[in-house]
Amino acid sequence: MKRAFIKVVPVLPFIVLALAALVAAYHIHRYW
Amino acid sequence: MGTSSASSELTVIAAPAARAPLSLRGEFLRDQAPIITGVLILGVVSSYLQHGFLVGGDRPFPLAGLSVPLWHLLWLGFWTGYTMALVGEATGIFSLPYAMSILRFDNIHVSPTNLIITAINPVGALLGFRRAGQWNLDFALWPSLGSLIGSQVGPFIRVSYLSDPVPFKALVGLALFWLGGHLVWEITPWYLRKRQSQREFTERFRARARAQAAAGRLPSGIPAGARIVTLERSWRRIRIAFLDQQWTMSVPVLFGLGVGVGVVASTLGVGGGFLMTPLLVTLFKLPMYVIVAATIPFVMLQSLVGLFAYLLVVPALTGRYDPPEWAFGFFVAASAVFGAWLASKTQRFVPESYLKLVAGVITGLGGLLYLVNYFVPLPFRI
Repeated sequence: MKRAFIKVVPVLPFIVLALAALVAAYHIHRYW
Repeated sequence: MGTSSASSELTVIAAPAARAPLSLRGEFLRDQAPIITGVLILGVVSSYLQHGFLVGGDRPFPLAGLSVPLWHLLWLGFWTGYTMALVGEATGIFSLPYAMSILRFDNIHVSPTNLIITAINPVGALLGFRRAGQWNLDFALWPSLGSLIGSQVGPFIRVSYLSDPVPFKALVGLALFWLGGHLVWEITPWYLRKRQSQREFTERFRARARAQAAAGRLPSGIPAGARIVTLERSWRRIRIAFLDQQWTMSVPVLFGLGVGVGVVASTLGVGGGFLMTPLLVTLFKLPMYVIVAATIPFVMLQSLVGLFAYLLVVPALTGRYDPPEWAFGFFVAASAVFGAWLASKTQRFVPESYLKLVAGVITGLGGLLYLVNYFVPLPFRI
């Protein structure tokens, strides 16, 4: 568990940025 | 931070230096959870007081003129707070263009609303830095006093000359382009070569941290009880010291920086750390560990003064009243506090260079689009 966490943490900001792009795309599709 | 521009790196390493270390969960529950809960409650209460109902989802924000679910605002605060704190910045300069271009909240109300976010976002970091000794009121005083003047001027410029979204976005674009360029510039060999003083500080910091780790203690790079101390204080200059290094700064320059950055930041509706931090680095060769002592109080005070001007001074002198969407600001700010805290805990595991490159390119390109749109209208709304 801890080892998996340590592996994920360095790429977490990039995952967060990708998710932010997806959420933005969803908002544009749903609300514009 | 920031924070503003709050490099959250120090929160991590320095906080345990002054007191017995807390577990991650304990620290979150004691320091951060009360702030986050309090701000969320403020969001709900302010929504009922301002609009008579809880905004979000099918109930649009009346002043912003937008429909957005509350989870999206919480997500906005989290991802901007997390990502920007990792690169040593605060939420405001990212949440503003996102609110304007993705959520389409681009009327005047967006500026005071964003100031709520920038006023609250650095609170957690402020507590951590203060406990860790990164606190010096003599140093923070002059930029903060400058902001008392500068941040009163910005809102007048915003309501008088920049009420139209297109020129306002062009100005935001300029700020984003500057920030994006600076983030990329910070990882170039030329920048790193020129920053001898900062590099020496960081190397000593890391050596201490390694020694602590080798001794079986938490890897704190700052000895327990270390403080930023004032060695000399007058109307002309101030001399401060931290650990074994000293810096002398001109008081009029610090005050002038506070005025100038205050004008720009309050016009846009951001904290101003994105400008203040690189200027302090360039002018006085200060390391980030010391800069936060001035920039965090500056960003918070600047935001509060700007908000005060939007709420009271501008209406009193011009008759124009453009209040913020209080609930929008509080909901985004609550999760931004959590995002910045999480960043402070994970920053040392994240490849900073790649992240600065990605964040810098995204920010710079966004800024460029705003600027281009001012001169040649783009075929899509931005």
